[in-house]
Amino acid sequence: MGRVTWMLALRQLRSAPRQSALAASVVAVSVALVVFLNALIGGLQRRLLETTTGGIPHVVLEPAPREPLPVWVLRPSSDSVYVGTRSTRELRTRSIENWRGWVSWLEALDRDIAVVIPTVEGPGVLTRESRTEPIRIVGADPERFDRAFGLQQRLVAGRYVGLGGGEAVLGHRLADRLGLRLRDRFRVTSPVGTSTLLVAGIVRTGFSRLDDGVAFVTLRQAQSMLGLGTAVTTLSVRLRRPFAADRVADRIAPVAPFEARSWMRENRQLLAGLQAQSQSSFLIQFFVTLAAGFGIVSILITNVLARLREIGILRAMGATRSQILEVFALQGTLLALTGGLVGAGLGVSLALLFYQARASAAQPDLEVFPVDLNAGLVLGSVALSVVVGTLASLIPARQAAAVDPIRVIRST
Amino acid sequence: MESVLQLDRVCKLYTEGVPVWALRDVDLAVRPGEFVAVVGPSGSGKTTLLNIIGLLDRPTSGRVLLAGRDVSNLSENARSLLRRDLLGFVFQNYYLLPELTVVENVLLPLRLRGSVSARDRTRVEGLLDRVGLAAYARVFPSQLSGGQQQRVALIRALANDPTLVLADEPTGNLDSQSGRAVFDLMRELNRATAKSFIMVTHDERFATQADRVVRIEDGRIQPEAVTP
Ligand SMILES: Nc1ncnc2c1ncn2[C@@H]1O[C@H](COP(=O)(O)OP(=O)(O)OP(=O)(O)O)[C@@H](O)[C@H]1O
Ligand SMILES: [Mg+2]
Repeated sequence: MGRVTWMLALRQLRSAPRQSALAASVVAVSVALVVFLNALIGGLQRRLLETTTGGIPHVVLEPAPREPLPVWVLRPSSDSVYVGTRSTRELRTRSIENWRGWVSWLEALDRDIAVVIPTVEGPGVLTRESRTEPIRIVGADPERFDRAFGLQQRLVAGRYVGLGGGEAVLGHRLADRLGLRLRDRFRVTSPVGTSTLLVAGIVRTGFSRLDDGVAFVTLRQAQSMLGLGTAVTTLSVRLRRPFAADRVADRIAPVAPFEARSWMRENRQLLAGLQAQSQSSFLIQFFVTLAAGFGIVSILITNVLARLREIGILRAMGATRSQILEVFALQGTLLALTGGLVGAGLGVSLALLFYQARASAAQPDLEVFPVDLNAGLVLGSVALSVVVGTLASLIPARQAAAVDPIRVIRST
Repeated sequence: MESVLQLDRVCKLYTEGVPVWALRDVDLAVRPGEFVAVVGPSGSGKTTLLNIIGLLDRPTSGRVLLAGRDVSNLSENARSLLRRDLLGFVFQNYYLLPELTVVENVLLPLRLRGSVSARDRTRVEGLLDRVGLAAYARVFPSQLSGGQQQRVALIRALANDPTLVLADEPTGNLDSQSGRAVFDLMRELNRATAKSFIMVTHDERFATQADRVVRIEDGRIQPEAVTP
């Protein structure tokens, strides 16, 4: 691109400051809207996804339910044969014995798998003085479990990493209800028997399912409380990208003796809602960007029509068609870039203002969802506007390049 | 000496609307440094002739040779480059670009070619000085009189060091005094730079001072009158 085309493009933009400002504003408004809308919806969706998947494994692996077994019972004392099926419920204490092998197999299986946590889960009843509460016992290696769910960070008191046998971390709502404090003792009755545990930590995860009724213990503790020996009930898989869950689950299920449940399949409704939201937001952005493109086209066409004679003179002086094309396309690019940068600034400020306004007005229990502003979004919006502006300006620029000098010079 | 420009039986038929033969079998040769005046009644084909010579229009038939090269069938792009490198234009209405200063206007033909060398710049600024406009270099054209603007346009036409300058009624918009000044300047620069000029004019006073007068009527070049 020649220096002369830059000079001409800049001079033309400067000589019609109002038109230029108008075109840049059209772009600025569209980019501001794109940035703002994306930040808002991105933040909302991120929060919804965090709320949904933050405290749960992305994929849960449990032993495949066995088919009811046909049974023939021969009764030697009589001539009769009992024919029927044996209920699967009878085989209910499903567990995974050789889980160490499966864990290393899984962790090597797929790049999206971040960590596999052998977990023991089962029901229990917590007793404190005269009060009882049904709870879930969740036993896992604290270091591993913490890597996936960050429990340690969310402790209100005590510790989770380094938990010992006979110790438990309780959800804060559960602890509050029962008046349990750090170092207090309580009893848990499981299908196998009763154990006494010490409160080693209290956690506030923000997920009511965990805060309300879970006691986190070590793997070994849970195994002994639930009578599982060395087996586990569940392999909990955390992924690097939550949306890989369906794919990973589908990959595991056919080759391993597990039932693989993906969080996505269990939250279809939510995901469909999010998708509809994304689509409508995308449509709005698409049309706004399109409108900005049309704005550039119409303003630049006016510019070309006002400069027909000038174009003719340039052509007579030996400017080539591509040089003329450059002069006008460059104006579109520059207008879009200026407008895009201003718009990005505007969109970011708008999003931050919106967030602050909500944050200061919020009641303590009203959730303020974050705005999702990232450099990729902002730069992407500016880049998009530059591409659209340049493409849009090609329409008037081609018109300019096609000007026949003798027609415009003659008509004096 | 070889001709700067040669036309062989050039015809031009306009087909839009009523067909008009604007040029019929025009033969013309211009020598280096020659100053040619083209005269003729309105509608006789003078502008058409200049457009064809200036590679802005194509003849319907016939050949155009510019600097010894047949340019009748060149592509649009090649014609642009030849205009840029070999030709200079002066228009009746000056046609300076309003958003560029005087010096930017005169340097524009060189800029279209690439960057401007220090030598070119000195030469062009010398020309501006010569026509008495050095003081106006950073001024915008709208602040100049018609005569001054046309002198700037003349320097612009010479900026790319062309072999041939084409001027279509360059004094047509000027009062007789400024017209005279512009014409004298053209003639002076023609002698000083040895570039060929073709000037369309209605003014017989200027025509008689040219090296040669070409008379067109109804698209045909008239045989040269024998000067008494
Ligand atoms: N684009 C065109 N389409 C059709 N006819 C045209 C076109 N341009 C010129 N003509 C016709 O060709 C003839 C020659 O026109 P031209 O402009 O060359 O004359 P001219 O000698 O320059 O006249 P003037 O002295 O008025 O400028 C005229 O009859 C004109 O009407
Ligand atoms: Mg004419």
